[in-house]
Amino acid sequence: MNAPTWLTDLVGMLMVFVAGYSVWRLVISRAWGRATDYESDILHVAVGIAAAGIVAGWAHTLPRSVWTAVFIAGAVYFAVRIYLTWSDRTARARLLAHTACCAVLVYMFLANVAPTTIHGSTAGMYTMAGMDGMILDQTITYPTIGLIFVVGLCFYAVATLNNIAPLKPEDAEGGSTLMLAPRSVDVCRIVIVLVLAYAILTKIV
Amino acid sequence: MTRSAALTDRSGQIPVSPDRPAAPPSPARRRLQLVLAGLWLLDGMLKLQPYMFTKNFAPMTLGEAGDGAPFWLVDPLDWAKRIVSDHPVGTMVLFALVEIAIGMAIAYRPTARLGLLACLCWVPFLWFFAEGLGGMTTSAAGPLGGAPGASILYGLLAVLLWPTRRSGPGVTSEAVRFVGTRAARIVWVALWGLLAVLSLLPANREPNAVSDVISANTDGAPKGYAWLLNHAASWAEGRGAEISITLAVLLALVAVSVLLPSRRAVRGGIVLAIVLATLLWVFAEGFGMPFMGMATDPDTGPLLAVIAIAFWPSVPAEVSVQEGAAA
Repeated sequence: MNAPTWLTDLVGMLMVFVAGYSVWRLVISRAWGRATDYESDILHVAVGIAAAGIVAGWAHTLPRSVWTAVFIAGAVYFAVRIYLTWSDRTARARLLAHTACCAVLVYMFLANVAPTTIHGSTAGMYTMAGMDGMILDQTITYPTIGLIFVVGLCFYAVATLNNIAPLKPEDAEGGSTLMLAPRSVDVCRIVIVLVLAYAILTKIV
Repeated sequence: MTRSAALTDRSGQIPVSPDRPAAPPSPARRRLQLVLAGLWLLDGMLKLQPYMFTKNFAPMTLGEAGDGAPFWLVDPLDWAKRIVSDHPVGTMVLFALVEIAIGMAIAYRPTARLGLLACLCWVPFLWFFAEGLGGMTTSAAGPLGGAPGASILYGLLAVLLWPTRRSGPGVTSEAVRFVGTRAARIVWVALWGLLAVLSLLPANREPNAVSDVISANTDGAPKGYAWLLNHAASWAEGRGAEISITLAVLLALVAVSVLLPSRRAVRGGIVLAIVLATLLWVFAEGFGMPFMGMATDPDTGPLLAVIAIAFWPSVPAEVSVQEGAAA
């Protein structure tokens, strides 16, 4: 079984948009003289491109082994940064989330979370679930770990949303060091987290 | 006696005194709301699994809700099943989006009330058409089978955790803060008492009733978990009556625990409730059976545990202030 094609395409495009928006932030923040969290934006670019390729076949870019190496390196980098900034609780929480994000992606690449191998979609069809002749998609290894990650990702999305402060009129004012649309980074993070959870769930068949 | 004090005595309602400034939002209450939001989000995400979009979903999952149900329930369930079966993609995407939206609305502080209100609107629909009233109308309804249904527990939590700044000595737990002491106690006794009564139904006391429920969860389960379930099922074989009666007694103890005057006894009852909810979730509900990509929700276990935590007696404000001063 697999998800409707239009849904996977839409999710893939969403990830490409997140990656593109993060690239735009990196470029424009310099031009506009606004502060931005480079680590988050660079991570979102990488995750956006990688996750798009995980969900939709047309968004395939680098080989899985290369992406695995990239996210292992990312996890190590953020783990070292956590060690170095241990006393700063805010930075620590953010870096911990980045490390966890890299770890989830490493799992996804190693557990074979990938675009469907079925030609077309089984959506709207009888698939004889649980019986001989069932239309099977390639499933993942270690699904229990995947399910634990899905639960963790959902609750992380909720916690991130809870920490987003509502817009206030005074937020519109400010000097040159004002952060560039910080809430949009949180929104990107939530979108990424939900797409990663979706990608894992679509392969538990 | 003032009017508000009289109201407290009669109904257990927590009065809102105009003289006293509103208390800051309770962090414990917000954490429980976030758990509810997380569970809704998880529910919505589970509904985006490939199996939900196939024509098998409606007859195999929604069809089960009508097994043994009375005629007045079977007809609307068949109607709902037909609609989902004819339009699996449209209906399931809609279901998923509604539930994801509810979870996100509760999680975002400015829309938390709206999210809880949406939850209350969505729950009756889900409970009736998707869960067939949680199987409560069948002769085999019981806590092992997921009664009274996950949806109704979501609704119950939405009411108990409604945002409020009521405070004072009458607030003995988060469950009490909005609905008041008496209503909260009625909810607790009715919920756990109902589960105790359902445990004693003849169908649940049959020799293999418990072992059959446990065995049904082994399909697709990871090896270690399947081994645990198989051992539990073989141990429970032929002991359906003993296990059901023991479970009923324990559930009845939980039900009456909140009426006891001792705070320690109340806490004991709540711990027992959490343990029972965990055991039900692990052995009877198979964590909601997510291992084959067919789970629509995590089932009642986590929700029963969250309800129990909402009743956990809080330390009265006066006591915590005194303890702080002494330290």
